[in-house]
Amino acid sequence: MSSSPSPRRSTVAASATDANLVAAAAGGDRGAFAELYRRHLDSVYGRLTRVIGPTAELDDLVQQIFLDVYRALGRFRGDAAFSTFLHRIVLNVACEHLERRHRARGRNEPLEARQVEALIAPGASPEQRARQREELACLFALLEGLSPKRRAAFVLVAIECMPLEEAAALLEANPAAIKQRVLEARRELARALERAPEQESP
Amino acid sequence: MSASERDARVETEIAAPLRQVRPALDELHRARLTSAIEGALDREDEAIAARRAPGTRHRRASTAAAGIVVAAALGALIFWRGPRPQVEVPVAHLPARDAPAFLLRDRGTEEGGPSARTPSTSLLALAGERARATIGTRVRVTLVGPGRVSTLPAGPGDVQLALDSGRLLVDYDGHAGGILRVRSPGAVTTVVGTLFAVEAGASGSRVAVARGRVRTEDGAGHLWQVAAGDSWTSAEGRLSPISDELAAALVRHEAAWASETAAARPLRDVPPAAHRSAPAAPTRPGVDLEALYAQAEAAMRARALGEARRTLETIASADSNGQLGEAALLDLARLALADGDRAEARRALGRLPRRLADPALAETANHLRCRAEHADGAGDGGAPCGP
Repeated sequence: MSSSPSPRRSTVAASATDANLVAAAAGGDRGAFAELYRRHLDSVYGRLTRVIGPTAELDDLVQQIFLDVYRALGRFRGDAAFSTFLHRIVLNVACEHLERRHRARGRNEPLEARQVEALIAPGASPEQRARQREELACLFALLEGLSPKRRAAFVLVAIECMPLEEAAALLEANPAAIKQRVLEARRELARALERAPEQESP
Repeated sequence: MSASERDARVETEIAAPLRQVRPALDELHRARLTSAIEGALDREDEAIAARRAPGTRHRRASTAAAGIVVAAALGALIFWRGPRPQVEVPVAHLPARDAPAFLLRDRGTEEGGPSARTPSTSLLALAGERARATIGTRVRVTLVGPGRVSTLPAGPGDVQLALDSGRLLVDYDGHAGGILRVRSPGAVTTVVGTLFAVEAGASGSRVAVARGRVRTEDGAGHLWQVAAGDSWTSAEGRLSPISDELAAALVRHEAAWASETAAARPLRDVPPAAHRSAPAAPTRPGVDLEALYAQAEAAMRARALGEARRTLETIASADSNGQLGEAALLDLARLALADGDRAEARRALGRLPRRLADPALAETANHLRCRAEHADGAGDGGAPCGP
């Protein structure tokens, strides 16, 4: 019987650059697009989680992002890296979602327990897990107070430590505007931190 | 507070802790997302194809019909458990929007007859239990506990399962086309028709084949062909002879199914007339089917018609003696008519009992029969079928 391992996909597809895969996918090659989204699924999920928080809509939004990318492949001209093109869509979808959420339900989005659990280190004890769940809930509640644009800028620059120019490219704004959004986000968060103990006191 | 103090506090109390959070997908979550994305892309491709060829109704109709056949194959999972029945809450466990809803039946403590029938997308076996199940007529599984297996969305004609833990013995008839895929820790096993087992444990997965041949993909993306008599483990990445114990378990699994095929036959395998004349059995816990119906209605509102059809098929199969099943068939006929597929509408209506107890349903059925029979919306004698 045949027992030797063989590559999962053709060597061309496996070793192809993102640009080559995009070109093939734009020509109707679903396998090439599958390779693209498999490569980028983790980074998309990670960034989306950091920007919108561990909410119940995460999986649907990830699906929506890759569908949007699939539809937009024909518009990708290759001026920027595919990852930049992809993460612009991630941030657009994230900001639109945050705006919808604010309009529809105010600023108190309940977190999804399953998604919060996924953020906690697997080796944590039950007590540690409970504490971390509470801490995460507080942190994401603080971010909920920010406007979507400030929140996205704060996550990219202050949490992911992304250079202003790179964040500006993803958020399609100039670096000065991003700097201003981060500054305003820090001010709002500092005010929220000052208020927080008062709210907790009986 | 100065600006630098303010920034330092935000950094220490918010940014730094959030920087430590590293959202990551586990294997099962990634598989579910991948399947959901594939499903969304399939729908997008279908929509594009339909827009490009608006006149080819028959192709869309055949796609819809194929979807219904697939739904029929996936829609009925009937399982038997030992003396400790534990039926999971359905619907809430749906792993993804396009995953097929399974129909569960536990034998419970009543000898010889089903005591419950519950749609679900996952199968659970406690330690010492063996949960047996069918998916349509082509997949027969035995889950040896403790273990859990769930369905995932799959392409037309295909079946996809995610084995979290436990030993899954599978007999798959692939003669009608399509593939069966089992995702387990460190392995994705693809089958075109065989008798095999997958074990999911802490150290990875083991795949063993009694008949036929399977293809397994390990975590590094390498493909392995496992033939009859062989066993493969993801931890060792090599083949070895199947153990006597596992080979015997597979033989017992196959023999048990062979002896109970008649009892295990899903409802839709029963000829319609014979089935309708059968005594009314306690075939459904109403609340679950009603929840499933609410899901189908939501899918129809969202224009997720494939999902709506699959769910309606499941309800129609599970409740063929009841009003929910009749209503599901009427909705299936409506969907087919909306798609211009009068033949499919007639097939759905033909599955209804000759006389419907509910006058409203009977009136609706007559109206839909009229529309299904007459392309111009006019009934016998030129009278209109009505709105």
